Amino acid sequence: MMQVRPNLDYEGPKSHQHHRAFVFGFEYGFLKEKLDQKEAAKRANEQLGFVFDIGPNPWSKPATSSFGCKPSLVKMEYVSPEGLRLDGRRPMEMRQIRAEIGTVARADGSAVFEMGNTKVIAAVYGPREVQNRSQQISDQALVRCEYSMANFSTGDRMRKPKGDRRSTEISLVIRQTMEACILTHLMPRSQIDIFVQVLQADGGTRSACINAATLALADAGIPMRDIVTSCSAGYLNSTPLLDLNYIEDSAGGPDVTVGILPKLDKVTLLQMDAKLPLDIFENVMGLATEGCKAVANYIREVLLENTKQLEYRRGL
Amino acid sequence: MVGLSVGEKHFIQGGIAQDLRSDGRKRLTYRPIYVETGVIPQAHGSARIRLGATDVIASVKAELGKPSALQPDKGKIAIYVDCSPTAAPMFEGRGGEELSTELSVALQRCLLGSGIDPSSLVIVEGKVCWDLYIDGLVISSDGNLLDALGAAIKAALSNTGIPKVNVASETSGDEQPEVNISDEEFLQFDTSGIPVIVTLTKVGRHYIVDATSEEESQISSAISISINRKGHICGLTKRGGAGLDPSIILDMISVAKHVSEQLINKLDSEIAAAEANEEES
Repeated sequence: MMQVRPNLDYEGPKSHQHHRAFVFGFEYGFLKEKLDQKEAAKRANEQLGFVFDIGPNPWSKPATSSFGCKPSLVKMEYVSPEGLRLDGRRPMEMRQIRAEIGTVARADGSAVFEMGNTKVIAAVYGPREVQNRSQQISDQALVRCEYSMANFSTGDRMRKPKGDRRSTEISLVIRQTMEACILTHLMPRSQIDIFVQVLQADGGTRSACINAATLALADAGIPMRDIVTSCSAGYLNSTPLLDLNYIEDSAGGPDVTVGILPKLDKVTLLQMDAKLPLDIFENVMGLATEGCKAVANYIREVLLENTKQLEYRRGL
Repeated sequence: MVGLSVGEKHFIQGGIAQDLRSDGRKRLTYRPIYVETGVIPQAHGSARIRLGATDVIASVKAELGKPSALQPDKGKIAIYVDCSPTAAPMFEGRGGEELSTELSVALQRCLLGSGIDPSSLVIVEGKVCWDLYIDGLVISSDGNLLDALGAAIKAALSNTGIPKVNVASETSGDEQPEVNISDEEFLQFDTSGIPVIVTLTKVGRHYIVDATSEEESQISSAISISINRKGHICGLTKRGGAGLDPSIILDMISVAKHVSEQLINKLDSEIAAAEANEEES
């Protein structure tokens, strides 16, 4: 068993979920009692096949962390020597995507988007009359967005589904991304509401939300410049990895999220955590962009299939 | 929802009076129910119910906790409901809080008293017990949320597998005992005792079951009754501003009992079919 080595550059947990690196990956997560950590570590070693040691850790924050060791400090294998990741994918392989349009009957447009275990529902209401007169814009539509996570979406039960800072930030990001591609000048003095609900979170929720919102907007018939697709990529064990899941995301390595307009070939969203040398960054961003294009192809197929169904039902 | 015109309101009320509702149903007929279990893999049990356009998901999660000092031989169960803004734009931000609270409290009242026995959740008396968190999420709302949530919780509980726990050693005093959670063995709940909720809505002089949201806008008053398989009433809530004559309430209760028999059978068969489907896939 390897010993934990201190990493003096370590800045602290990214989020409260950072310490619970394996919570989603395992059924019951780790208990807050220390007694079970050794048992849990043993199970982690058996299941994932890598070496992980928990010892007394003076750098951990006792109040928030559920176990004493920071995962990023340990030399873990996210990519095995044969080139397989933790869930059996190759580094350049995306998770399986699945999309469905029209799930919420009362909404003007809705869609469900799944990327691996991440499952997201988006519903669009609009264009409709602006509810709050003071926010009305005379020459454009007002685009609003809200992102919320279900109580059961993460491994640990979340207490506050909305209103926390991460949700506010992601709502803002999705709103700005979609606003850039909606032709808002065609619908002055009106309001378009995009609501995104995360049912299962396993990494890449931001990307799944944007993809779902695109499909929902298309289902609502709102004019757009192009579809927006998004995908994330990271860099662990000196390998660029496409479409990170929760375990890889919590590893503390860089996480690049890219959103593009595929036909116009323009980038509308670019976010990154942690640090990367510039040449590797170009590599990783290129990989994420390729992932976006693959998602775009799939989304186009789904939309075409949906239109065929509509034509069929109209008797054409 | 767009407001209804006077003509539409008359149409709905007239239809109900003639036992022919806008979607062709009779007054005491439920919409077709679709049940899917195991939709949330990381929860201990979950189910999704579709009642027409109403779509709700319920999930059950069990965590180890300490029983309260007042009831050391019982576990704890909590029910929370969240209305997602995807169901209606007015649920955005804190708009859905009122409805969520109303539904949570009504469900707790109807299901917790007699549904699950909290003493079955205790592991070491006074020290360790299971805390059961039941979360409901309303994805799409077209009336009759309470019935749908009640059915979803029943389905989720029948899908729930609580892992078997071995208490490692005897400890004395205030120490927390060591507990090992087993991976393989699960305890299934016995859900035959869990009641279903039947909401009877009074429109004009007649009662209807399973109202759509258009019909719900016309209610004068509604009663939600939870009835179990034996026909015992486990909880009752009256909503709506209009007063009801006590004889009418008794009449509504007997109608609800009659409806609940069919509903329980239908629900049980759908849940069994859904679980069979889940095992195959």
